[in-house]
Amino acid sequence: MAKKFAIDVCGLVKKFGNHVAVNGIDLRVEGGTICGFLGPNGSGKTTTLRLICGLLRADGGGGTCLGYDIRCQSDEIHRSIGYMTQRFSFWEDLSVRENLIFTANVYAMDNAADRVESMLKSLGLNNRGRQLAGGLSGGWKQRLALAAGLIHEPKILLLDEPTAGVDPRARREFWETIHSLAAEGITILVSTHYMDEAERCHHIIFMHGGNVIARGSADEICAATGLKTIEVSKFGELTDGVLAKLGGISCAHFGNTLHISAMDEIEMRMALDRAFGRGNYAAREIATSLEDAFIHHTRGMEDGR
Amino acid sequence: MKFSMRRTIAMQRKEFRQFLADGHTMALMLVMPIFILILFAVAIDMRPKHNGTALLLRDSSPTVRTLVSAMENSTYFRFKALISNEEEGERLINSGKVHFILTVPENFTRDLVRRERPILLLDADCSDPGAIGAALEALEAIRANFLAGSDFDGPLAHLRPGLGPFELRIHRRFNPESISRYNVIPGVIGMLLTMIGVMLMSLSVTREMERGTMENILAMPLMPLEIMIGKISPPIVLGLVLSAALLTLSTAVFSVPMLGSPLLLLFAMALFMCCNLAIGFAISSLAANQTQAIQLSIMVLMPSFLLSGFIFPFDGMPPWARAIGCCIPLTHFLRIARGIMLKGCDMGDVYQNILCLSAIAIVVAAIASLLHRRTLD
Ligand SMILES: Nc1ncnc2c1ncn2[C@@H]1O[C@H](COP(=O)(O)OP(=O)(O)OP(=O)(O)O)[C@@H](O)[C@H]1O
Ligand SMILES: [Mg+2]
Repeated sequence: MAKKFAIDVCGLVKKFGNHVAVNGIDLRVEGGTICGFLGPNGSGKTTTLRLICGLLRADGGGGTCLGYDIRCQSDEIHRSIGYMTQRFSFWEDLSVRENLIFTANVYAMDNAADRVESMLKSLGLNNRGRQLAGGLSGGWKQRLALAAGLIHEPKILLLDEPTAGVDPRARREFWETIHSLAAEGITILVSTHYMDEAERCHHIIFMHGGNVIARGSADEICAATGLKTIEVSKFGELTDGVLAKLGGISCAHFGNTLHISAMDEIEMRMALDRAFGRGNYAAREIATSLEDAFIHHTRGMEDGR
Repeated sequence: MKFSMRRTIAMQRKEFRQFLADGHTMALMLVMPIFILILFAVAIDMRPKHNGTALLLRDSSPTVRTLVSAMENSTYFRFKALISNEEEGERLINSGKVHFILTVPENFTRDLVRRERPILLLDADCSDPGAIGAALEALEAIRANFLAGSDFDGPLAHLRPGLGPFELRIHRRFNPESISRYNVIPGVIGMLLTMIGVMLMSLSVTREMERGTMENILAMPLMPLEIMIGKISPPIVLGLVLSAALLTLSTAVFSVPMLGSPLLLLFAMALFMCCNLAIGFAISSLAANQTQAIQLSIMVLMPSFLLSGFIFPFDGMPPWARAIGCCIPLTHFLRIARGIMLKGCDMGDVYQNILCLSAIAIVVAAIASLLHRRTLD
């Protein structure tokens, strides 16, 4: 049974003192899929990834990663996963190439030197091989970290906010890489704060305060909220008073338009009339975005940070 | 811009807040000075008493016993061993177990009674010239007044001369000219090796923790032993090169004698370095950041320097301080280094200290590997 899923854990609990960072998470990820972790700061994404790769000891629950027990077989797990940390964790006083060679040797790769060169080339780092890693810009550091995480051909890749501070083009290339890796059968767990990235995942785990509060594909998560969203345009001046009249309805600026979403469409229209005056605005229904769902899920809840 | 009291107070508050939050600094700044003051004030005797003395009795009349107890009553001598030949005495003084050997020659009492001024022989370990001066003065005083008391009243009153009825021949061993540099330099070498070993090593893991690279290391398939060996290697090499350089400099330029085997000394240095690195490794697993690592190192280094016999004569310390001193690698290294360099000790003289160093290295390395982090918690 455990064989079918690359990652199969249940009831994971992690406490830091009195603070429960991860509160009983169940997770099953099929091989070759991309699973995205979404959630506000402090919701436990990093902690969950660390628990899965045995970097933290779980206070409760357990399970397997590639069939190895996460509680006692972390050596085996470490050999077959690549973990890219949220904070850059390579040696800034070593060159790019030295970092990669060290990594390749730690994983006892047979053809370490060749592997390093081809990795440098495929990630566009080959003329930066002799540069000190500390001198790379943020985006290039991320590329180095990804290259190092892939050097030993892992079966599972854990990526903790891999694209924070990376430009849109590099991000797109990055996701192309991720998808082709998944097509090769590599299982990928990735945490992110970007909605568009989350939408690229096969499966989204939505975390909040250490709990999973929604899971599924992007569409499933949006649909499951039951939210209706209205785009409002051509209204007059926006003052604090106007927004206050919208009551507790969530509202976001998009250029000259407002997106407001709530469960009840009639109530929403009444609130709009109250705020702007009937006929003083244009409104049309649009699809609820993942961001609206995110805001909806995290509103009114105490942040876990 | 004008000086603003408000900004200053804001700055002060921030500093106090951070200062108080750092328990290690507080402990260091409060406890260390108090400890050192107490050590200087009550515990340390720069003119150590109760110097270990071996006794070679070729004559054991009541008069000799009077002399021995007079020496013991002076509190500067403590007779630790009654030996039967010179070789035994050599071992004891070479290994540092005694600082003096008192030899009472045959017919001492007879010659004394005949007013032939017999010779009393005292071998003195002058490798630490400052430490034994007081004892020698005390002995001279005893000699001058010996038999001036009531023992020789009546018919024997003529044995009460002012010059003292016997001659004292002091045989200054190991550093006959009492050059203090000879004693200090092996100590300084030990101090430097301690500082470098403990400091370098204590920063190694904490640096990785602080820079976030430890997370990467822990996620890699590396065994703690592999990490430890890897991390210990550069300081060991550095330590050995440095040891050889310091030894060459001391002997060639500062003409400190090297009577024993330099190879034995280098071996002891390597062992000593292992102790220091193991201590540093343990510190680096305990400390949360590099500042703490340095502070913890200082907390280890200060007692090492004070209680090892480097700054104060070991025998001038009270028993509790000597007990602590015996657990300090520097104590044993000092005895080995001074022994080999100044006394020409061989393995037979220093093996106990070598064993102690090995034991400390093993125990501390075991503790360090237990403390080593395997996860991030
Ligand atoms: N080493 C630690 N010691 C104490 N508390 C911790 C530790 N690591 C994490 N926490 C706490 O656990 C909770 C979850 O942290 P985690 O880093 O997993 O959040 P996250 O979802 O990754 O947040 P972000 O999006 O900001 O990276 C937070 O409240 C955090 O304060
Ligand atoms: Mg995180």
